[in-house]
Amino acid sequence: MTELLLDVRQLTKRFGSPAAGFLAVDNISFGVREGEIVGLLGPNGAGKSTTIFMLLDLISPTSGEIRIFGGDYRHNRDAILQKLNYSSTYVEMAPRLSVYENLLVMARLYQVPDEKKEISTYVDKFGVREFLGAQFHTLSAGQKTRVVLCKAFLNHPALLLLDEPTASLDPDVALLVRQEILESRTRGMTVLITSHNMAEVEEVCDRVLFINHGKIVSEDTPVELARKVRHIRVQLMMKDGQKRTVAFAKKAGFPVEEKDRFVTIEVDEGDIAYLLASLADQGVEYRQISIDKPTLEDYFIKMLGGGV
Amino acid sequence: MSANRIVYILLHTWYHFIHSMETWVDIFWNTTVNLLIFIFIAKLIAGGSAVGVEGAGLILGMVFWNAVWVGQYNVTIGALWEMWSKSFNTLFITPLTMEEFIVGQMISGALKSIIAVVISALVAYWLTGLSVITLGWMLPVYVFELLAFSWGIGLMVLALIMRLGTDAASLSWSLVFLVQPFGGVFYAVTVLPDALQKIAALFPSTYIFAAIRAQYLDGVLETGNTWRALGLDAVWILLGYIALRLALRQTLTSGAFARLSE
Repeated sequence: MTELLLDVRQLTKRFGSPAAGFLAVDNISFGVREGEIVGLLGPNGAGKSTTIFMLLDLISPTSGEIRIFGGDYRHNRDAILQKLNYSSTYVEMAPRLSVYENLLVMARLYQVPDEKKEISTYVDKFGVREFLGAQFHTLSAGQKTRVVLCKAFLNHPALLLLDEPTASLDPDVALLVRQEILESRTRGMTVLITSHNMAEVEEVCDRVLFINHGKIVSEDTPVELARKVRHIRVQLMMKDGQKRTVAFAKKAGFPVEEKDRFVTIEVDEGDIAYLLASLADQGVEYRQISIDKPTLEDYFIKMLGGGV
Repeated sequence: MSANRIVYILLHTWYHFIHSMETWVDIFWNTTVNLLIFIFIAKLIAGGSAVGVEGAGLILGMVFWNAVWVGQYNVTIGALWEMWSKSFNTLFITPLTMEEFIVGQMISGALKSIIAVVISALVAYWLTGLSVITLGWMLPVYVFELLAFSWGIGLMVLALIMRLGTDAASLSWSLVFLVQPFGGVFYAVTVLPDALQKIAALFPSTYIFAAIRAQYLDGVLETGNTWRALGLDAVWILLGYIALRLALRQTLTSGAFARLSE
């Protein structure tokens, strides 16, 4: 069993007074092991960002304990922040400094050995070289995100916190980021990531914590969470018998949608054979069939709708 | 506290400075133009090309006031630039501490203050023949004491901005001017009403400017005033630091510190 790199126990954050305040994070506990990539998912206002900010020591918890690399911020702030980094679409850097000046100052604050070589490596990796001399405030949102990602990898963090790391990025750069995350994991980096891009989370995360109303409501691998959505979508491109198909689905109690020549029916995994056999018995013919397994996105939607 | 990280904050400040024309204007242009106005007013009052004793007091006040103004302004504006651009807390998710950041701003403010005082002193010498060099070895003592006062005010203003948010940013260039009428900058505080003299006694500037005038105009070295100013400087810095720590703790609890990046 690998070491618990991040250990959060009974963490609570209440803004305002105990009587009239807002409970943003409600007594959550979780751990992240070395080399793990863990997704922190939830709707807007669920408490994800507050949790991340507490992990960065930018918000003081109301109660609970955060241990990173076995220590806490009160006694080990320097050592923790030396080996931790953070990237988000919302992170800004000094506006008047050039990209290179910003990265150089950051590399030195993290005491990166051979900082110019490291900057050069990540500048090339994230395609930042072409605007290295530009002042940060002149960059587009996507360019800023790439610079902030360079900053986040500069010190080879043992723990990387990512908040929507690929929002505002072109798909090819987002792919690069995912590749870099997975490659860094092979070097032992641990990642806690929040994202609204469910495909991204499914691709990179070993485990997902689903947070809602400040509480962790479920925790599992992306595949297992998706499996909790038992409905599978069967989409048929009809040749003959479209009306019979819709009528049968309704009679059988399966949710059904009809659009042009396509009919989509939601069934439990165990009912697929029954559905297809029944349609065949009724002489229904279709040109194409696709059976979509539930995804993490389905879980997310069902979860918010209380359907899981 | 890491000396290296303070040096890197100085580097950060230097990069910002060389790219920001408005900082040059704020610090060097405004201070020089204000001094010119004071020199010509002093000449007008004296009724000739010389500035007279009162005029010399005014000009000395303006030359050395620049140490307070630039020093204080730099401590607060250094943080404000980062807050306005929402990059302030990006610095603090590195191992950098608030103390290291502030010390970096104090040192960079001291360097800019010294340059501003030198420029002002040269302008004053060129137009009036008034030479601050005649203050001898006490000159760096006076400048240091004024700088220390500026740091104390800067810490308090920064604490207020943290507590009230960037809407209170104007305090960074306005609050320090409360010191001018009551802090003995241009005239002896004996001209103030009794109640205001009690307030003046709390400002180190009251003793420093009195000592500068006594030495320059009367040739009297007022070491007692210099020591009093030093003690008060320590109190102002301590109070400023306590206020800043309290404000920081409050913003960390309320979430305001994290929102500086949103």
